[in-house]
Amino acid sequence: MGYEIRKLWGNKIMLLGLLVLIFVSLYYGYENINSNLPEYVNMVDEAYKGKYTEEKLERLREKFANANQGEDEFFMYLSVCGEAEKCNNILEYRDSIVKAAKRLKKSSDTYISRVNSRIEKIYEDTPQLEIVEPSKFDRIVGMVRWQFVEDIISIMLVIFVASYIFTLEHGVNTHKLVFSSSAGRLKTYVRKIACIVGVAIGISIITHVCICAYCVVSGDSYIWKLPIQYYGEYIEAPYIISLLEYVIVTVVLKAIGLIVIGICSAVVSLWFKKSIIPVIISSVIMVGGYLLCSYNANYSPLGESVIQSRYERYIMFKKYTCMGLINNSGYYTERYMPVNVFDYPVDMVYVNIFINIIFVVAVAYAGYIVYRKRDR
Amino acid sequence: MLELVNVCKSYKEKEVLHNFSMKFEKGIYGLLGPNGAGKSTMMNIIADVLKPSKGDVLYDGVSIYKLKEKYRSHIGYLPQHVGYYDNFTADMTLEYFANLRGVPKKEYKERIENVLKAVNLSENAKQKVKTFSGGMKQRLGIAVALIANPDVLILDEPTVGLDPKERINFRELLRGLASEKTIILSTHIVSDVEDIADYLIFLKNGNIVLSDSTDNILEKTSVEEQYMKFFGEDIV
Repeated sequence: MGYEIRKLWGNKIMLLGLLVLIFVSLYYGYENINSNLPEYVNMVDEAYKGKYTEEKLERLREKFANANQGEDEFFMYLSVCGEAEKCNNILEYRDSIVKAAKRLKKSSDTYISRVNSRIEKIYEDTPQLEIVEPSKFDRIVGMVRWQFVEDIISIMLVIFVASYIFTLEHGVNTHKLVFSSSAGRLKTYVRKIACIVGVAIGISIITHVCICAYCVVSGDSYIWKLPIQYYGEYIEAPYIISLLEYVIVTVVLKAIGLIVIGICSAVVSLWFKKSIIPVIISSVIMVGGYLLCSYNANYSPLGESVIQSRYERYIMFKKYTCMGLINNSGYYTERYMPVNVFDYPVDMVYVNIFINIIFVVAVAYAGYIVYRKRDR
Repeated sequence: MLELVNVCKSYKEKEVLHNFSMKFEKGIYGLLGPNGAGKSTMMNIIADVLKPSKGDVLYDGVSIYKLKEKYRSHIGYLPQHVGYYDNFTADMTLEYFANLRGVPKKEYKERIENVLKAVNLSENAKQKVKTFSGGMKQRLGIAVALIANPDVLILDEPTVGLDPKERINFRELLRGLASEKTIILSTHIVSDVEDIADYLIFLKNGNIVLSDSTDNILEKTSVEEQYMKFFGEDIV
């Protein structure tokens, strides 16, 4: 694998892509951690903090109904209403989950039992409405959840690397030397696939490290140990994990998605013997998807909040393909999202990972058949 | 010992190699023929890059398709028009192919030094391949073929791009190796093989038109005359 990485290292497009990804991620991290709106936050908090009531929510809505002239005001309006509505949703959600939990309690599954006990603990008290400036903790979670630009760059980079690594030998006519070596086609193929896996994991790690870099440098290391439930929208999270663990889970899920994309691109480039083909296909999908997204967010191939709350309404494509793992990697730990498999509730993240792994193994095997028979 | 048994190779309707049978012992075998004669196809089949449409290739009496990597660990191959990884240095290139060819890691350094010395590239070991001239790249290719100290050396047009002095050095190198290896060398330049080859095979349109020891051929006439006799019309 080391030699494959060395081959890549001389490619200027790859290095440029990597630099752009690092720059964008660092900038995104810096910009988000630095932005603050203390005046608005304090003002709203003074007026509305305390126990959540429907009346308070109504007053908030009236107050900020027309506050969309200035960017800051508009941002605040969105944030506050988002918080308030979330409180409203919690009550409904609690009832539905607790109702379901009564049925699920009969199951001996330890996971479901854990979820049930967690939910019961969370909803002992009525939610408080507290308006505060988003903390570093909140901002990190927010950034990790939403990485639209980073995702597009990561996907393009992985597609390019995977295609390049599989067509490089044909480009310089070295494939005959490689095929005639004792390592042979299988080992060479496995090494190249391992290289794609390594690059996908590397890109996912680099992106997250760069996003969190400014926050780490600026101190407050204790926040990494806090449970993810500190972030408002994760109050229903079934997994009791720290912020650091949350970021690691996101890195892993995103990496799996990138591996799937990379191996698919490798097979396409193998088939055509040209690295440009998957790059063109993906560019058309990305740009087309972006334009469609501008028209209607639901059409985006990297659609936001695909799995977040209304997951049952989304189509199978988004739900079970690697796109969900890449763009929604941060949402899987937000709440318990069961899907029925043979009338048995299974957490969707497991289903998605399982489907993607089966898919990628099948694609990689098909790719090996192409690689083995190529030029024979 | 390497043996080709009734080897045929077709691409769709076109047959480029027809019932090729030949035994290769230790020594230098010169494969002569014009472009399109089937030399490279045969080389690729021996190197296990191509599979024959019919027939078999045996190494010590066993099909190479059964031996697989065991067979490939015995061969060194220099294909025609081969390129390398531009950002690799010469020694890095050799290290990479030593790794692919199963050379033990502790032997890398010594082997690399030896083959670079053999092809007169020792001073360019740390130089990037993209800065190499055509002749230097060809010499590097020969070094790659030799890196695993193979028993069978397959060289497809190895002298392309070499200047006269380098050609002489190359012939000397092959002469030194011939006693312990089977060397199969394809070319369309007669002078490359007439002095050093022990055996000559003339190929035309995928068929053997003449195969005999160089001494026997030279008894009757020169190699060049034989070449012109078979391929004169193709050259024009």
